Amino acid sequence: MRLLAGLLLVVVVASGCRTGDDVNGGTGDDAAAALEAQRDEVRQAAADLVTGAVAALGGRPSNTTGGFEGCESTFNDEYRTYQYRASGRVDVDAGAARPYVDALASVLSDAGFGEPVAGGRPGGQTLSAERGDLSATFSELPGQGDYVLLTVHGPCVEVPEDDRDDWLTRPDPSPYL
Amino acid sequence: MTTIHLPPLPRVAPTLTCDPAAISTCGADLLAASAQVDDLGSFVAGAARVGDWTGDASTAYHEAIVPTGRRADAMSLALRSVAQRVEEHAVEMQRLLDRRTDLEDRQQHLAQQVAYLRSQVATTTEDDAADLQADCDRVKAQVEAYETDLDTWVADLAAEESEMNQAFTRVLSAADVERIYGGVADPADGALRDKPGAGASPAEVNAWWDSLTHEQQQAIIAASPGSIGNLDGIPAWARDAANTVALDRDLADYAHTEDEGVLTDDERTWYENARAADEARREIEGRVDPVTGEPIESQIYIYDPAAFDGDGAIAISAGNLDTADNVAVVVPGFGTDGESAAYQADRAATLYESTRFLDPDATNASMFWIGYDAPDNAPWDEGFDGAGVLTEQMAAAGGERLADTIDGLRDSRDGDPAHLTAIGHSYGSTTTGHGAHDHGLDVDEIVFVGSPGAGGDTNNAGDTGIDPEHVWAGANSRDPIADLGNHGWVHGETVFGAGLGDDPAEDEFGGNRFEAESETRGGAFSFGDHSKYFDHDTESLHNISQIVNGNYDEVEHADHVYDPWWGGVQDPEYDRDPTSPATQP
Repeated sequence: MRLLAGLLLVVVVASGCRTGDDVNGGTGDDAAAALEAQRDEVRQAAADLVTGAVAALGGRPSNTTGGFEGCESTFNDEYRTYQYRASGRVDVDAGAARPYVDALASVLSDAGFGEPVAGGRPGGQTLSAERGDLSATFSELPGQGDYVLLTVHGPCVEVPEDDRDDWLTRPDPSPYL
Repeated sequence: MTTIHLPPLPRVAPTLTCDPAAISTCGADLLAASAQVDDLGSFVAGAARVGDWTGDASTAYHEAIVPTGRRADAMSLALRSVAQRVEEHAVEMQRLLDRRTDLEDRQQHLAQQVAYLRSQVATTTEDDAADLQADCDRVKAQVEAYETDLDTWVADLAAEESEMNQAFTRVLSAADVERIYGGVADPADGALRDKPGAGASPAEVNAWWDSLTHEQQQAIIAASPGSIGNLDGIPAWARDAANTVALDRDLADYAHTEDEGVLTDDERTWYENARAADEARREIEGRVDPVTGEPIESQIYIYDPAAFDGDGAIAISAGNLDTADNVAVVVPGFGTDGESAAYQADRAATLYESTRFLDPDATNASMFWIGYDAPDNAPWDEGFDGAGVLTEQMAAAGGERLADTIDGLRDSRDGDPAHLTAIGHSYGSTTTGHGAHDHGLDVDEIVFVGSPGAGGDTNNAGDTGIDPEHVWAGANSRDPIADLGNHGWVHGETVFGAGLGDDPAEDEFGGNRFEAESETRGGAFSFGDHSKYFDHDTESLHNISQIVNGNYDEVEHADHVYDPWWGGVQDPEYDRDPTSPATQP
């Protein structure tokens, strides 16, 4: 019998050991209020940015969706913190010139975001900026097609243990735009 | 004075408001209803017949139920026919929407050209008139071609709507159903008669499936989803279709039974597993591919809510298992059962996102695999399953099942092999080790993360049966579970026969160790660090993703754990500052 390791595992689980690094404490109501407010803010920002990208580059938006996502996992296999993340895609007009992200700095500024920072990602390039706790990133992948992608997300918020499964499976199917 | 003949303005395409996804959902619901009614037909033909009951009452009873069974079979076929037409309708409406988008672009472009040409008329000179007319003629020809395509589109839309309408109206009444489908043999029946028996290899199953017609395959998916949904050797698309029918049918059945107040305790457990599977597929489909910005495709590869005494068996992939360049199978460990599906789906989706982000030119599928009976609770909590973590029994049994699943994935892609990686986490790494050692996992890479031991007989990377260069271990220095594996010469196994096998991150094991520290790691041993290996923007997820993608040069190697005879276990990673490589946009 190979008992020792297993016995330790079971004892650990039964003792209710938990990670100790809290990001943002508070009651379930506090966390819910913070995440709900974040949802509204992220969706509005994403709508503004996609609308601005269409105005700057032409074309049409699609897949303008968002949802709550786990940030940091904890024992045993659940998320301790959550954030709201929205995404979107704009298929640009045929006449738009690359790099597309060059035309999007003003879109970020007009939406109240700070100084945009150019960066890279595998196969493409990005333009990112922050507004308070929100982060927004436009990206394009020249080898994949004539479109730009947007992601906007808020900070990670700690959720009480009893509410974690609910946030994981909480649906948010309606598009923000 | 020269007359310029201007091209006409192109018509705008009619508005088309439609949601193909909603149509497809309707088709899936109808297919599930077809399966429910088919179950009634099967019940009447089987369990409803009482063999040891004789006499007039028995005769009357059996004569009375025959028409019910016949009507059920006919209704099932009718519903299936409509459901499949609805699915085709969803696909066709998406095509029509795409064509309309193209027409809209062309119309706007042409309208701009016409406007431009009209603006030129007032200012053009006699000398330029011929050139302007030539431009007008060219645009006129383009407008005419557009108008022809628009007419074709309108006609195709009308035809599609008419055909969909006819599919419904031809079976509107019970009499219509009886006239068209009464006594008609189900194409699934003949096909299932030739199905290989229990114990057949995935290759034999795959050969049988490939021998069927498309109609037979579709019939089996609708009428007998349980016969192929979890059968190794069946392609993932067909397993997904069958398991979707089974899941939707179960959700409807159990919801109805619950509403009636007659749900048994077992059924309640199965219902919870079914709902967990439903949440898991929605979790994946609600996520977005970081390269295309479109929803991630899911495939239900295993669905059996009653398996393992109600713990349930569920495996769902993010991405297409039949076509992906790189396929990863994630084997979870302690604390996993059917109800864990949503979290495991999140993990699979996160791995999918990371692999796609890091190599946008490759296609990927990442599947969580709750395909074995994992120790899922403390023995004094909900039962004695948790006691299984004390031993390797459940890992050994799970390893055999894992090997079968891998064989099924391989054989259903004969001639088009994926780069295949098995990833075992926690007790799942012990399971993966057993699968590799005991049954020869047919994979390209084996990854152990947070491993309490790779299984008692997997003493080194070579024991996995694959090239040690393709055996990998990720162990966070603060993860106490990853510290449980045997180290050095003297350990629990040599002294007490205890433990779950050797630490795959140790130098003596002979595999590759990759960096897996977390910026949020605890100060000393921290159980939270045992669950962070698949979190975004961690060293671990970055390195696992590079391995899955076969980009070995991009993997950040770590120095091995070692256990010198003069001291305790040493982990060189303990004092290294963790990094946070990007795994998402």
